Amino acid sequence: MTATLAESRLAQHKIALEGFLATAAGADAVDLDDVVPLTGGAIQENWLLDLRFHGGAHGGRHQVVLRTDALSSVAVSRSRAEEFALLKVARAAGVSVPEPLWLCEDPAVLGKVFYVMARVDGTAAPHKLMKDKELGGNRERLATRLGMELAKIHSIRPPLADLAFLGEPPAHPAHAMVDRYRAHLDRLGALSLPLEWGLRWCERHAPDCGGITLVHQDFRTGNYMVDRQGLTAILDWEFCDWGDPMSDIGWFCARCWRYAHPELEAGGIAERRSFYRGYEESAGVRIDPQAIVYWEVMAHLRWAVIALQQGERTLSGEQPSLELALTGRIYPPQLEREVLRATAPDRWSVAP
Amino acid sequence: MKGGEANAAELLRLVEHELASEVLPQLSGDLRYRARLILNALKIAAAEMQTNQDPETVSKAALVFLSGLTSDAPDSGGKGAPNQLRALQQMLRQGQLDADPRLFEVLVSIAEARCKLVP
Repeated sequence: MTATLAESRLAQHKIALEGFLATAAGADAVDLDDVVPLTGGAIQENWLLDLRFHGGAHGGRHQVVLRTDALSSVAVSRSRAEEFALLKVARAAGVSVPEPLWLCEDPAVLGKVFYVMARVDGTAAPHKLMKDKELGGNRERLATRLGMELAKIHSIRPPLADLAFLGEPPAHPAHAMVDRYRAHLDRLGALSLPLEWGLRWCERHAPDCGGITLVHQDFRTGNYMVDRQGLTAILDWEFCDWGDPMSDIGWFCARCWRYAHPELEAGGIAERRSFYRGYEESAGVRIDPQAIVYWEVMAHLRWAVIALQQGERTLSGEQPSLELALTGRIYPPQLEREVLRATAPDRWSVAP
Repeated sequence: MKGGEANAAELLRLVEHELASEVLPQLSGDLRYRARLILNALKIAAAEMQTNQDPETVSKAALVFLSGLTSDAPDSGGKGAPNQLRALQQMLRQGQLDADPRLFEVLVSIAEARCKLVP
């Protein structure tokens, strides 16, 4: 056992984990040689596992990623079992995702549900993408590819038995979001008049929804992996739901997710038209720019509400974290300013 | 002359300087990231102390606006202030202040003041 493995939280579960993997893979035995913690955000833990399979179809050495809940999870995020199902559906639809391998819902193995997926090379770190222009290959091509990937996600439509846990699609996704964010703010005891102004604007100006599809809800720079050639995988499927597909486009293009390059309107990596071109050609629809303006306002509202929720997680004592406290303190003011910029009085239509 | 004793705001500023100039350059990886978080928290705390302003008191402008609508005296900092702000929140939700240019100006000033307090 390596020092990394011995010191990891997985060490005490080594034998049970090896037994599960052997059964799942149809191998005679599996040796877990090493584990390395990967960055996985505040909600999930990701571990890179070095495995040796003895016998079976997977015989030999393999690196896989184990994903499970972190100590503290967020109520709105999907369970690991649901995420595993979403990965399978997305892969079947042709989306570039890490191959989902095995799901374990037996608490006797790790003490919590986890799944294992194939390792994908590359990085998702936004600061690396912002600094290193070679990463991800040609950036306009990368944006076009991302548009195509998103169109494949949106080709998944309800009803779908494998995704029954998503529940009934909303009749009007935009209005449902306004109601949800107001309820979140009330539960937090948060009183932000600029956010309230923005929510009312969204309530008044919701565009027609062209059709409900699966929406990723966190499709942005930071949640896809690239290598030197281009895209390698779309990540972080934990917020998927049925919704208005244009909301994903607004989220991807919103200024808050352009990091150090606000002038590059497609996720801080390329021009917006490259991203739109990939989406439109793959989906066979035209994107209404006005609808995207709307969904970018909603994106800023949503991120502000999430940031406040993260801040509250530490203020409530649930999870002591300076990072969470700063998220709740630093981002909402900037997001309020973005919301107001887009919703000045001359941007309101006449009374309905 | 300040009598040789640093006050809280001055101490915070000096800690911030020490951390940025002496400690941060020696760090890398996760420790450097965590030190930057600490630096950001110090900056926010120092800015708040310096301007004697916190995220709640910047709402004073909103209360003055509300008093103009209801002819009630603004109760900034008083016990009635949260209720008055809730009333404004409800008016916004109910559409009574849609596209109101005076309120919009107030909200922009609130957002700008809040942005000045964060790095």
